[in-house]
Amino acid sequence: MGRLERWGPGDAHLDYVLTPYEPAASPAGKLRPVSVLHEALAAMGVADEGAAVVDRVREALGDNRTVFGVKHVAGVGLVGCELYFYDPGRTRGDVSIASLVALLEGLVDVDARPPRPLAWHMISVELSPAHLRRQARAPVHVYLDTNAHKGVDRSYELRGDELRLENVYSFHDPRTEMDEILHRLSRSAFFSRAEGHLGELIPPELLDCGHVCVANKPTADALYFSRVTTAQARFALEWLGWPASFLAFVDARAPELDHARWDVGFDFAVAGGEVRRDRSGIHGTF
Amino acid sequence: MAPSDRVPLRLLRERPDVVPAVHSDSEDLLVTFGFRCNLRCAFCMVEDALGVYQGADLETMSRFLADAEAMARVRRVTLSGGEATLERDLPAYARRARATPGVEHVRVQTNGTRLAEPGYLDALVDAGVDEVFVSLHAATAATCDRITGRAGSFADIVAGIEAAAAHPGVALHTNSVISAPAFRELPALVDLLCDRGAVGVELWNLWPRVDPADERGLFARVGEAAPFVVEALSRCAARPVPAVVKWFPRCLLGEHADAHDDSQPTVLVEQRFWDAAPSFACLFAASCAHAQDGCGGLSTAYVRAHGWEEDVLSPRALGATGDAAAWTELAPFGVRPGVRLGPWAARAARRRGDRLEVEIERGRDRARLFLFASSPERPCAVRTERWDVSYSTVEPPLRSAVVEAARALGERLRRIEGP
Repeated sequence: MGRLERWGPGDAHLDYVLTPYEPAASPAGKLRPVSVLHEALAAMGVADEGAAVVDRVREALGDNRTVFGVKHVAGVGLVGCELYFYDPGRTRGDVSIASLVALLEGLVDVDARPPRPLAWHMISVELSPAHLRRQARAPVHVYLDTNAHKGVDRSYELRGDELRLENVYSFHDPRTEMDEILHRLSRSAFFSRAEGHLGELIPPELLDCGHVCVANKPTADALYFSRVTTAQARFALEWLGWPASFLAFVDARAPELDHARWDVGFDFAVAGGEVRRDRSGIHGTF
Repeated sequence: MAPSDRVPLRLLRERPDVVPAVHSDSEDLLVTFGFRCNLRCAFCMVEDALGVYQGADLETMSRFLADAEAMARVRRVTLSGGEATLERDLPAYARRARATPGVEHVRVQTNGTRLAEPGYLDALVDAGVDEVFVSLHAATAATCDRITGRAGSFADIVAGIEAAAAHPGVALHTNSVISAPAFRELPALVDLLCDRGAVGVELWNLWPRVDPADERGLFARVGEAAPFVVEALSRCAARPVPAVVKWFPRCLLGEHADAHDDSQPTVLVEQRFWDAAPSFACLFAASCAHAQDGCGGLSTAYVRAHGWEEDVLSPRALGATGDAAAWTELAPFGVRPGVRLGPWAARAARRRGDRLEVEIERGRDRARLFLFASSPERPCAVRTERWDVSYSTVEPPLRSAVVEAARALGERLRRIEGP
């Protein structure tokens, strides 16, 4: 079992872009969302290694500063986590690619050397069990906005000093921009309505969310639903085929996690005549 | 259709499993008992309850009927199951309902197969029944019998309908499900029902409790069914016979959008019934005026099986959200779209019969305030000289905030009413 952390007076409810949200219930005496990360790390057999990373990041950058993601691949299981560091406009200046490499030294070998100054607003590092056991070197992912006004962003993998475009994505309010969401989905290179229907991409259970992120990737497109409740997240995890043991943890701890809102997302592509949602994740903050 | 509150504890102590879903604004009480049936309809709303549930026994119903607070707004008691006419106690239930002060109608919801039995309707009417609500889902014997799973059911149901229409003590209302096997017969079905004396016709879209993947193929695709539903409604209007449509996208009803009514009665049924109650959603709900007018969209089972019908649905842009005439009525009190009422904002308004409704919003929370002409008999949150203000059932954590909104509305009303 992973470490359980209790909500404290200095904790804040922040979504995956570090924007405050109204908690779904009172958090008093309940669990911090990062407990889900610890549980996933334990399930992957890297509880101590992962906790050491969380503790070091928290010590260096403070609380309420870091977004975490837990990753799953259908048919494989939990495959790792990812830590995201925001600094839009570099106003904080407390994290850089170099400082991230240095911060994780001794815990994770991060292989990232930006070839030139990059105007990122977010960077992230993906941590698989192999990375946490220092059996592999981890790249950094760099997120750049494309247009100051239209909210279309892109991300690159930075491995060594080489950049590779990974993702073009945009955020939309489902209440007012559903037409734009539908436009993006109807023009997906990996899905057509002749092969499936949008109920397979936008389940009714997730429609009531904060924002919908639509992403285009090299071998799939993706959808992310922000600020969903624990109950909605639980639905999503089961719908996406997460392990029964992890679902059991969520079920057992649901009353203590009911204050939190989560961001859930998945890659999708039609394969073999069916809509597949093979890669997915759930995000919180610490 | 979801439970929204609980009645006083004293009523639960005796039958804690039978929990009413109390809709404070409903004038209808539906009492379920005797979950047996002599048909096996392919889309039965209580399919998983047949032979399992017991519903409200006579004592439980009697205690609810005796609670003046719970019954304050109830004008109609509907007796249902299962097939209520199979229950020997049905007349006793009817007598008890008829004896309740304020109850104006006692209705039996039935498949109609027993109504033509000699003396049966007389017995029901003697017990206080004045309405029957008969389910007939197709205009032809072939389709009907296939749906009910019983050969000859169509003939029995039609005979029951004719017996009810001919009886001077009973008003005939009907219910027909919009389903894949039968939606093309809806116009002819309306003709059949109205020709035989129906005074009210209801068309209910499939309300899925079992078969979430629609393996039975019972969902009518709304784009295909809409023209037949509209034609059926047109035929009702031409008679004229009042019609109601439930759980079908309002935007597809054209000139008959006002026939849409997803409101639900208060229901006395086991709490577990709600565990499988379908929920509804629409991609366009947040920006569609039809949603403001009560349209719930598509069932989640439908969406899973067939998608969101994003190319079929026709959302209506929000402008004067809801009923423009209702906003006009509220304007003298300074109540307009977006006005603050305590910690809430007024979002939509509509008139429903004798009351004005104001939908209020606070973040993700929604509630409704109701304005009635003042009446000392009516329980309410706020009473002014001319108005009673009450509110929709909300979860307990929201209650005090909604009361605050009701008081804020009351203050606005009093300001205009003067000293």
